[in-house]
Amino acid sequence: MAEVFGHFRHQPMPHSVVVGVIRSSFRSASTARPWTWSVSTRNPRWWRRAGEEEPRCVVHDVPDDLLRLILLRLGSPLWLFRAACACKRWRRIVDGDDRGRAFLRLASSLHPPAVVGHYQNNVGGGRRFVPSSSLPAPSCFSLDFIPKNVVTGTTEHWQVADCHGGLVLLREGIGFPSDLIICDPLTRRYRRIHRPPGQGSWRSPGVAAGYYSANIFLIDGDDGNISVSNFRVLYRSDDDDEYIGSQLDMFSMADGGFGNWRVLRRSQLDDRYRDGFGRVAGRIDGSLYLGLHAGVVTVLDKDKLEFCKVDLPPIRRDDGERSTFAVVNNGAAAAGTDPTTSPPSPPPVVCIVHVHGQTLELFRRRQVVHGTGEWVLEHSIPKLSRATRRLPGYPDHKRFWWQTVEVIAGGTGFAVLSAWVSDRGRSMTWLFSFNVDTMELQPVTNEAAYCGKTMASTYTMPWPRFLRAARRPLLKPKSTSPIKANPPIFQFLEASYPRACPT
Amino acid sequence: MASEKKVVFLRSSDGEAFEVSEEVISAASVTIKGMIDEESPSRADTAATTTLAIPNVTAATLSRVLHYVNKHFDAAAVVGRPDDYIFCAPGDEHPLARFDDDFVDVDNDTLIDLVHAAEYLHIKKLFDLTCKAVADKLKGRTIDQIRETFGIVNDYTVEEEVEVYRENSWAF
Repeated sequence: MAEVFGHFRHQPMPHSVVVGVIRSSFRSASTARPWTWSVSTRNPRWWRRAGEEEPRCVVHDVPDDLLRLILLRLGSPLWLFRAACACKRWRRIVDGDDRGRAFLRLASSLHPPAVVGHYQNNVGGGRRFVPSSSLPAPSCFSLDFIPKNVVTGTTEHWQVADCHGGLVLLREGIGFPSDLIICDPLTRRYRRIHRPPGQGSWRSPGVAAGYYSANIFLIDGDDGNISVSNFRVLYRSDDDDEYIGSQLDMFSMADGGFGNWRVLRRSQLDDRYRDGFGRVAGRIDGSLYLGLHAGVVTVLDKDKLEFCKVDLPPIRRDDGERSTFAVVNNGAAAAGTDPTTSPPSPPPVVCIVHVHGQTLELFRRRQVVHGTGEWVLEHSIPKLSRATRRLPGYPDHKRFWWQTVEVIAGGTGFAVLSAWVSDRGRSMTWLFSFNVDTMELQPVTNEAAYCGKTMASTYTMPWPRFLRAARRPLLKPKSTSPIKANPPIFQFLEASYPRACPT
Repeated sequence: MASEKKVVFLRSSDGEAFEVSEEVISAASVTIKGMIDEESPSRADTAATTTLAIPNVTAATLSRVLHYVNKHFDAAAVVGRPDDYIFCAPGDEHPLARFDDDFVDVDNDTLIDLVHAAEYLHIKKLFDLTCKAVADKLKGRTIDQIRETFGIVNDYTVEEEVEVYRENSWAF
């Protein structure tokens, strides 16, 4: 366990005369290594012949656990990936004993996701990708690599069902049982998934006649990771035909397998979900939260794989007003920069931001000693039209009432709201954000990072996959030509970051 | 006045001694606080000033650390002296933010020495600041630039590099 480090130098610099080093650690007493004397000749850089130029940098003297803390502070997957590619030692630090799972889990809990762009389905069919930076999106994001329709020669009939973990899940249509495609735009890989068994094709007689709706969600694989060969899909379908009713299927695929469908639940048609499952309000710690327009939040129970209602305090409801939700972690935990502080920073608290008509409500889960905790109303802003007037960047000198206000996105510590008004035939959308820690409203300056009022699937940059790639048996490379930079994607992804906060 | 303000001397690895207020350094550094507490029974009778050896921090680094400690942990200095050279812009959330930025705007060797010193002396704020600064130097750079900045030799074989590249070409 004792980490050995240190060095020999032929031309010691003033600050390197100490060979034995006494170290202590900032971590809790259980993990701190007390007073380790250590000498090593591990790094071949110090085996230079006398007279050779001495490298100046002392980064090699930094012990592994210290370097780990430094690398944890890199906010973007892109930066972390490049740092780990610099040399084997740095990569081993990220890799750890478990292919970097622990490291990446910690890193992704400390930093907000990097939003690359949004996928939108067009009403008449087709889809488009709206990048969050001003650079033009590389062609891989238009999903030009998935199979084309034989007749039309396009891929327009595939619509985006969900985005998660750097993957995009596509479906053929809304109103009928549909095959799926899961694809990874960055590596241009895809995999076709046949629809759940027992679901007829829309071409078969009788199916298209009745009411049919399906909600399809992409979730992490069994082991908590996600990739094109390791994921799960939930396919919830409601069918008027009596013999099916409401059905929840799950497709799961793990590394090395072919994947298979399994029926999780089959029941009578449930009227509660008749208007669809609503939209994904947040993904927190592997749980999937869905906000229904009827004012209900459902959460996917990770273990039971069942959607259950979140017990919010009674919400005031006006018929005709829709509810929108965002489920986010509070930002206090992420703001603390040291992941290994003692005492440890409190775990993040799950918050639900609910907007109904002109009212914003913040619910927070209060932890109970034993049990899952209860939701309490923590803050409420009754008249959003009035509250936003004082904000800088308020769009007009005139005072008006927003016709609709909706939550359109959430991130660590904040939710983004979109307000819409139509004035003399001119409609206007304005974005602002709500901070769940300070309870303050703020204008959003990088509007391009959000997709206005429309339904969109947010595509966030995945954490690196090099760990998976490295442990496979090394195939003989096709060419050993030097690595060429890939400027379009590189620059595009670089510009997509940082998105630490909405302003 | 002089009697109530105790000072300690810190001796760096190359033998230079620095004077610092005991109150300030105890508030800042857990390690030195522990050393002082160990020493205190013997000190009580003699009332002599203590000299503590800091065996693995050089004079150059130690003087920087003490500069930081005096700015951040000496309440009298922070409150009583508005600014000698700290300019506090209206947007600065913390009056010392500008000082911190200047403080870590140094070359890599100095910065990493500061990380070591902060870890050894157990000064959490300084440790956070310097780690963040090292991470900032990695941000937005290509792999080659990272190697160049930190003097890292590429020890991947060509085959391994090609393999990583094929799986993750988007990140290069």
